[in-house]
Parts: sequence; structure tokens; C-alpha cells
Amino acid sequence: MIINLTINNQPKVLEIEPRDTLLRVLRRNGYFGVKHGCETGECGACAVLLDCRPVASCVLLALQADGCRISTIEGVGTRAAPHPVQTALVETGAVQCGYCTPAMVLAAKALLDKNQNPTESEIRYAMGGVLCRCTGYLKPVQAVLLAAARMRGENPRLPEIRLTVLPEAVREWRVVGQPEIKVDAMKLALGKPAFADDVEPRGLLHAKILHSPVAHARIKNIDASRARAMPGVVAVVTHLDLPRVVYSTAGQSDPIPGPLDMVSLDDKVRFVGDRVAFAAAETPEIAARALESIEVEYEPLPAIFDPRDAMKEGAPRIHDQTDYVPFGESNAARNLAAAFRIDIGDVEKGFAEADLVFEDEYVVPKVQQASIEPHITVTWWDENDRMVILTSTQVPFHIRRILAPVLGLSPKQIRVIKPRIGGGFGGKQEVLIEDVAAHLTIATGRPVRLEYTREEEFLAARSRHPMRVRMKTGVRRDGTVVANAMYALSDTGAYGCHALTVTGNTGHKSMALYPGAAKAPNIRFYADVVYTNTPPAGAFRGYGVPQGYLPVDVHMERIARKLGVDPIEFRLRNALEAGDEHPFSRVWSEGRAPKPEIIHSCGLRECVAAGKRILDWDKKYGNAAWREAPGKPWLRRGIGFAAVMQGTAIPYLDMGAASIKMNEDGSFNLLCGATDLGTGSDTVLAQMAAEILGCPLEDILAYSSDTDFTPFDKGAYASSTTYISGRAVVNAAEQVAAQIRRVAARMIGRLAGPEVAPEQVELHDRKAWALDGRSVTLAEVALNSLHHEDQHQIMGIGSYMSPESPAPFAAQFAEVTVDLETGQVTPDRLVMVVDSGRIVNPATASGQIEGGMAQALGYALSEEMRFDRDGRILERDFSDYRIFAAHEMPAMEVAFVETYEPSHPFGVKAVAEIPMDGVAPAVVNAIGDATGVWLKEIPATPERVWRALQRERGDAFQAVSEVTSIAESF
Amino acid sequence: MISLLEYHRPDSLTQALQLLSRKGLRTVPLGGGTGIVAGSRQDIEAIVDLALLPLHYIESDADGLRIGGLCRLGDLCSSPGIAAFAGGLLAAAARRAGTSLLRNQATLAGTILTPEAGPELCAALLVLEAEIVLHRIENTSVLPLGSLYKNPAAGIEGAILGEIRVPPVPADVRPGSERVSRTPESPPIVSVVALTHIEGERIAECRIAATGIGRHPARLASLEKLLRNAPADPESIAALARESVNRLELFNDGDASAAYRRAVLPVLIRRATAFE
Repeated sequence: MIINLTINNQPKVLEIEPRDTLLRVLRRNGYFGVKHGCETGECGACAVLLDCRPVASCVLLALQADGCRISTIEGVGTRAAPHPVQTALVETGAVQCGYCTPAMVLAAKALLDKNQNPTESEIRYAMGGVLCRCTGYLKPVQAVLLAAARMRGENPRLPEIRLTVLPEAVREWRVVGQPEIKVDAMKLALGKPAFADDVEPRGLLHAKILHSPVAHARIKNIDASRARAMPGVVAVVTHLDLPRVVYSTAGQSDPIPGPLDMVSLDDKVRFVGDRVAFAAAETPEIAARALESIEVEYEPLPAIFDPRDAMKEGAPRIHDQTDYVPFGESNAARNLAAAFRIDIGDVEKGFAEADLVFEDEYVVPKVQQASIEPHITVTWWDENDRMVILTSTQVPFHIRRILAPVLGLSPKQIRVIKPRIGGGFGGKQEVLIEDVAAHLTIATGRPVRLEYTREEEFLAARSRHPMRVRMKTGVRRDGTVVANAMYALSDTGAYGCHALTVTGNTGHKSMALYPGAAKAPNIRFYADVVYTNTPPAGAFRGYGVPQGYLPVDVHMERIARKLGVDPIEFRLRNALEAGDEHPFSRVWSEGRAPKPEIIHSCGLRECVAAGKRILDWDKKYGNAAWREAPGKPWLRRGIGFAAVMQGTAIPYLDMGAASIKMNEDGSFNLLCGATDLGTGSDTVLAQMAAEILGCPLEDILAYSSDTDFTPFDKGAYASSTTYISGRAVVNAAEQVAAQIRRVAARMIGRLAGPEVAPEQVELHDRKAWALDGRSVTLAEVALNSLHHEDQHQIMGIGSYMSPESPAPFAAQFAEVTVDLETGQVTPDRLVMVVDSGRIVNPATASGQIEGGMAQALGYALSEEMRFDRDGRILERDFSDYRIFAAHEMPAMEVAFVETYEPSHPFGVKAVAEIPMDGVAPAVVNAIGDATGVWLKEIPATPERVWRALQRERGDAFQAVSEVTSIAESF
Repeated sequence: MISLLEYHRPDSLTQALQLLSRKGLRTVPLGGGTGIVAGSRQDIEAIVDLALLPLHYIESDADGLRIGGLCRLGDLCSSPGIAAFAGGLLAAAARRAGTSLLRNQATLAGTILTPEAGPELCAALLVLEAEIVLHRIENTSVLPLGSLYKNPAAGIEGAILGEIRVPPVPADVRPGSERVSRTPESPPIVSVVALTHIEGERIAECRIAATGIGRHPARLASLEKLLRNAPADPESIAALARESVNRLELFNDGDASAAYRRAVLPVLIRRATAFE
């Protein structure tokens, strides 16, 4: 069929099929700024303007738009003449991964076209149809306010970011520490084709996966002959067609610290959604129909859905394959993927010496990363018959290493390219679908594209490990913690990816915060990570730590209140401080040999003080009048706090590298293996290079990452990039700077005046300077070295692996309103004050914190993955799985207390994950403050809160006088 | 992805009805399409897109509102006439149906026929005693919206929901709406929409509809009867609401248990009617 559209003022005659959505037609015709995020219109990434109104093009048939005017992001602005909204989004740091940015621009433009003086509320409602998982919406809303003001002819200032630099951290830098504009922001705001799905090799096939409809079964028979015979089907692959090669999908360094329990296709399925077969066809519809025609005979097996059943006598065995490769304590016969028994100090002696011992159990849910860009991979054979894997990943180098044996190729036959990533949050620290597309490219010889639908993301991607955590804490009446024990029962689902390391961090980062005032920690951390017949868990921002802080911090709050001491002071009294040894550092290091680590910098006290000031804490805490809501006696306000710490990279393991090459004009190519997944790491790494090389940020051309061209980096996880990869960049830049100084010294020496030693040359303002003021430009240096004398390429390569994992600290605050009659909790305000060392870029760093808090708010209040009796997931789209939208967010504020971390040349520590840790306990503590009732399970849904209120008025939490061994008592 | 063999965009009601009445092809009418396209219905073979039919209007006069079935929810939200009607009850409910993008696509008729897409909007229309105009190839009929939800099996196959008529609301009637939800603006777990007329200290008349208590939004007729001439104080209303709600058959689902619904519904009713 033919339709006529006017797209960006250009008349178009397009041939379509009746079933085509407008999204599909636009992308097929090169409008790549229109993104696919879901199939129900609820994420809004597919927004276009239809006759000036923003609509979701994924739920609009192209035929419905026949005769209409369509505006896409491609028609809104250009690099030379961006729309004011695009400019403002870029300037305010509102562009993170950029996947939803075009939709935000269009929604905002439609509003401002009608109303150039909108209120913040009107902006939030207008943008409420575009979900963003990165920003927390604060900066996008600020950007639209800014754009509106500029369109009215006003010239408002950019929003300020609160920074307090502690005296020991004061340093003067030109580029580092500045809120530089993200190097990729404008291209993303313009909707340039930058993502994996924006590449369309000729002859592309479309892949689909047949997912298991049953939770646990053996495949007795599988017949794909009908599917293979269908017109348009090019390949169908079942377990009968592939060799068994065991691997782990966890994107981690070698050796993988977990069991090898996965093969690309197995003769057994272990969860509803597990892989049964793959198909590649000329269209996605044909591939889907082919899968439907595969005849599969399942032999049902008893299944485990409750982790408490997994290790029971007689429990069904989920991994009974003979090629299962255990790691550490994993024991497939007991459905045990990993286990810990860590004792620090003498825990039993500590409990014996305690005046009071408190014990309770907490439950945290399975939640989804829900990046707006689904998992997507495109594979093809290149002209050298090498496998190219273009994929939305956080771990390109791990993918190459892990997949090589799975595909029967050597690593040198594989090239992995990471384009821009539309959010990852740990979900893409996984070799999730790359093997499927690659197997099909091997089978067909043709390029293959595989993209998950939103439903598949919930059905068969990864999630946060749900846990049941039992806490037992011994204290003296003066508020000293003398023993602290945690037992975590962690559910890894059907496969053990990240099982050991995620759950290890649950104790490692949360229990370690409280060695006790005596500085002689008695800490026990026991955990069992069990298999169940549910979708596998994996990495998710925070990596086990949010699961630890909900129980640890809520437990601390409740103990303090029972003791009658100030809860914040109670925490600080027992918390780690600068100069302390990390309590876990001698006993555990992600499955590798542990070594002692000292906490060099800690601004927790200053964070607390700053947060209390911002929130006016002292006027609200314990103030019964403040808790009241005038005229609404059923409402109570509450204020809550949580103290948290994270880590920065995995010590003695995480390694990053970068190379820097100087160009004729004095610019530099920075090639880094580090994986910018929207966080702004390309920008902060470039800032560090620019600082050392004496040039502005715009002279650093950052590129990441491609296994053929960029040096190795383990990838974007463990809050490591700024610290590890940044140090690698610094090392490379220092080599380049030394080479520049040598050439410049020679050149300056020829100018009138004395000889200059290279070490006396300074680099700044795009020049190399002698101390007496003589200078040559960097461009002159580059031209000299490349063309004139002693010709050589000025370049350097740096690597870094850290013996430390400096901990960032933060104070998280929350204000909520609780409806005592319905249990509805309304978040009113979130404030987070963070010590992440020196902040390289306040705009990107604060954006990380804001976005993390928004994601963590969902963890606290609304997000959870649940299953029916047969193990089928209930939440399959964004209607059922509720993440906060722009018009639902509370007020948010972020501030930084800048310490100086001496183990890094720019004094940095991590930012990325710590905002996930404190929101849930702070919200639960705020609910407790409002009601006197402490939830022991999240999310704090209305019914869960209501039931807690019905059960107990006032916290029934009491010290226990006698407690059995914690593992037994669980 | 939806499977589709035919697409039609007739410009007359008669033509549209003829297409819908054909035998053989499974044919459905399309308003905004958000439900049909998102649902990826594989059983649909032909679509009759109603976009060209003149059913996009919002008209207001002494007889109340007449809203074309193809009126977009976004237009309902921005219409001054809707904003002024019944104390803004309808406009507020429309703002909670779908996302800001989907409201620019979804039609009122489509929302009425798939009330899970805008339960509070449908509940608001119920308490406003809206009528729907159904066009069929053989006739045009007008029926109360409530009857559609009471007897959904009767269905409207082959029909086009052409108009929604909302009678005028007396000036002294007060609107109220209350909800509980997972996030502040997400679809409600339970919600109540009410119109209450209080004379002196008694309730002269009260209309209450609730969502989250069954498959469709429903009027709580027996409670309305109990409340007529009842004292207008919160305690009395809550007591009668509890009594009435206790007789309702409620259900458990992923959002909430029946016990929770039973406990919360009277609270919402009290607040929506007593104006505390």
C-alpha cells in the first residue's frame, strides 16, 4: 500500500504493509531518531509529532498517519542551529544515554509551541509520557524551563550544583572539576544515528528466540522441519544443531568467579522464558511464525519458585548436566550456585558481650534494570571473514573472550563494537543475546539483527537478585555495636551469573560500614545463593549492595530508636572513618585473594551535616507538629535517613587502558576501552586528558569502544571507569605530555632566550610554555613532530589496575507522606549528599546521582517482578511494571562534599552506583518515622504498608535475650 | 506485531458500518488504535479506521455535553468546556487515562470500550450518568453507559460508539475522587469517583462509582441507596460504606488482595463524599 506523509516538511510517498506501525516505517526510511523502547506506547521513546501533537508511533499504524504532517527529531534542529530545547538539554547535562532524548525534545517542543511560559508542573505532565531511566527527570525539566525562558527573551542562569570542597581537597584545575558539556550530548539531542539499531547491513536477517512456556522441563523431542521449510526462513537452530560449550553469561574478568552452567541451547529448560530455539528470517514476523511452527515435546519436571525450598531435602535438581563446572562453594546437587561463610573478629564473643541483641528478617524484591533501549545485537561476517558483533553492551572485551569458544572461533576472529548505549545499569554486563545472533550469522552467512521486545526484557533478561536477609546485631547500651551478623538467602534464578559476586557485595559493602566504635569489628556474613526456576538474576546498579543496605540501615535505625539514642549519631559513632582498614579487605575479594585496604578518605560526617542543613532536619525530626497534615488527620509526614558506602572498582583485578594520539592541529584522539553507556565517562576521561595536555575539552576526540581499535578495558561496571580507566588515561596523557615537552623545549630553545629543559615546560591554553613566557602552540609541536624534524608520532598508552577500591560515602535523606488508612506512601523529597572524592564533572556526576535516586525510588516503592504459580512472570510491560515518570517524581536535591582520594591523581572516587543504596532504607525509615511502624519488605506498596500498620502500631521490635546460630535460626 | 490483511478508512458512518458488518473477515473499528496495535491482536484481519468520521466534537449546551466518540483524551483534557463541567471531574479523570502521548491518540470511545485504559474516566462517566450512542447497520440506539458494563457479554460487535452524552449536573452537586495506586499517577489499584448533593446535614443524593472491584468500573447502587438522606458526617458515611462494601464480592490480583480492597474502599468512599 502507498501512503503520503509530510515528514519534516518534506512530502514523502511510502510503500508500506497494512500492519506496519509508524515507528517501523519511519525507521525503515532512515529516521533513526525515532526509537523503539516498548510495544505499548508507554515508554514514549518512539515519540513523533503527528500534526503537531506528540504521539507514540509504536502504537500507531502507518496507515493512520496517511496524509498527516510528521515531525521527527531530524527536523527539529541541526548542529549549527539547534532548537532551544536541544541547546538547553545539552547545557544542563540533561542528556545521559540519550536514547529517550529525542522524544523529550519533541514532547517539550510541542508544549512550548503552544505555551512559552509553562509551569514546572505543566512541563512534567507534558514529559510524563516519556520514561527516562538515566536522569531522574530533574535536569530535563530544568532544561525545558531554561529553553522556555530563553524563548521569551530572558537570560536565566544555569541551575547551580552544590559543591563543598573540603580544605584538604582544594586543587586548581582548568578542565577537571568543570561542568563541561558531555562530548556526545549534542549528537544525541539531535537524534543522530548512534545506537546499535541504527546500523543496517545489506541482506540483514531478523532473529527471534523461542522461549520456554514451562518452568522446568526436559525437551524430549523437537522438530523444526516445518519452520525450516517456511518461505523466508533462512535458518532455525535447536540444541541438536549446536555443540555444547559451557560458559557463564556474566560479563566478568577471567576466570569467571562463578559456575559455568549455561550453553547456548540445551535439552532442558529451567525457567519460563528459557531458550528453546532460534530462527533467522527475512522479516521479524516470518521468524516469529517459524518459531510458532516448531514442535516441541516437553517432559515436565517439578520446579522451585521459592528460594527457601531450593536446598530442602528432595528438592528438584535444576542443574543436573554432567558438564556443570562449579566455582568455589557452588554445589549443583544442592541447587547452590554460591555460598559464603565469612567471620571477622570473634562474633560469638561480641554477642556474649552485648547488652542487647536485636534480630529480624528483611525481604528485598527482584527488580529489572529496564533500560529504555532493549538488548540489541547485529552480527555479520566482515570482508576478512571475521565475526563483527555490534552490540549494546557494557563489556565488549569480555564478550569477545567469553563468546570465542561458544562460537568455535578464536578471539582474533571476533570484533566487538560498542556504539552508544541506551542505558545498561548492569543489565548489559551480560553476554545475553550476542551468541544467538552470531550463531545465526554462522548458520546463514548473512548479517543478523536480534532485538528483545519489552516483554522479552521481563521474560528473559536479567534482574536484581531478590533476597531474604536476616540481621542479628549486638550492642551496648551506650550505642556501641559489638557484633553484627547477616545471613542472606539470595535467589539467582535459573543460572548462576554474578551469583557469588553480587551476593558477596551485599555483605562486603553494607556490613563493612559499621565496624563499631571500638574499631575491633566482629562481623559475620553468611549467605547461600540458590537456583530457582525463575529468570536469572544478574548485575544491576549497586550490585548486591542495595539488597544489603535495606536490612542493615533499617536495622540500625530501629536499634537506635530502641536504645533511645539519636539514629544518625548512632550510625556515625559506629561507622568507618578515614584511616580505618576496610573490615572485609583481609577476608574477601570477589572470589580472589583478599589483601588489606585502608580507607584513605571519608566525608560521611560532612555529608550528614550538609544534608541536615539542606533538609532542615533538626526542625523536623521528632517534631510531632511537623508530622501532621492540616485538615487531613489520616496523613502523617515522616523524615528518614540512611548512611551508605560503595566501592570503586574491584581491587587487584579491574584493569583499564587508553591510548592518546596527537594530530596535526594539536587535537588528540583518545581511544579507550572504557564503555560509556550514557554515564558521561567519555567526557570525564577526556577532561582528565585535556587537563594534563593543556587543551580544552573540545580538542580531545574521545572514542569508545571497539575491540579492534581501542585498548582493553574490563568494561563499565563496579563504579570503576572514572577511577580505573581515568587513571589509565592519565598515564597515557602523561606520556604524551612528556613527548610534547621534549619537542616544545627544543622549539622554544630556538626562540630568543635561553635553552629550556623539557621538565620546565608547562602545558596550558593549547600551548607549551617556558617559565619565562615563551611558548609554541600544540599545533606547532604536532606539525614539527609529524613533518619537520625527528619525525615521530606523539602518542602514549596507559593502563591501570588498582590495589585499592576507595569507598565513596553518602548521606541519603527522604521525606514522605503516609496515608494511615490506605497505606499509600507519597514521596515528597529526596536529598543526597555524596562524598565521591573530587568531582571531575559536576553536571554529569549530579545527573548520575539524580537518576540513581529515581531508579532507587522505584525499588523502594513500586517496582517488583512477580510470578504466578507456574513461574510465569506477571509484569510484562511498563503498564504493570511501574517506574516513576516525570510528573510523579518528588523534589530532588544533590550535593557533593569533595574529599581528596590520594590513590588517584585527581582525587576521585566512584559516583555511579551509590545513589541506588540509600533511598529504600531512607524511605522505609521515613515511613517508620511517620507511623512508628517499620516495613521489613519492599517495595512499600499501599497494601504492604497498610498490612504493616494493621499488624502493629508502634515497632514491636525487641531485643532477644537468647539467639541460636544465625544460619540455623533463619 | 498486529497481523492485518485489510485497512479501510471510510468517510461516512454508513460505509463504516457496512464494512464492519461483513461476514468472513474478522473486522474491528479503530479509533486511536493504541489498544489494538499495542495488543498485537493476531485475530484481527481487517480494520475500519474511523478517523474521517465527524465524531471528534465536544459540544456543550443546556442539555449537557455531547462528545464525539472519536474525541481524543488530550482534547478532553484541554477543553475549557470539559474543565468547567461538574467541577472539573471529567477533565481530572481524563488526565489520568494513559500517558501524555497516549492521550493524544486514544479516543473516548476506545477508552470506554477498554476501561482498563482509563478506569477513573469511565467511573466519572458512570457517576455523570452518561449515555452512549451506538450506531449499527440496522439502527441507532442510546443506552446508559452502566448497562454496557453490567452486561458486557451483549457487546457492541459490529457497532460504532458514536457519541457520549452527559446530562447537566446541578451546580450544588460536589464532585470527589480518591485513589490508591502504586506510583502517584499510575492506574489505580482502587479508586472512587463520586457526585454528592448535600442538603443541610444530610445527603440528598449521592452517586458513587468505583474501580478495582471487578472487571469494569461500577456504580455502587446499593450504597447510594443507603446514603440517600443519611447524615453527611464522615463516620456515618464510613459505616454505611463498610456495610455495603462487605456485601460486595471482591477479588485478589497482583495489585491487591480482596481484604485490602474491602478495607480501603470505604475509606475512599468516605473521603470522596464527605469532603473532609
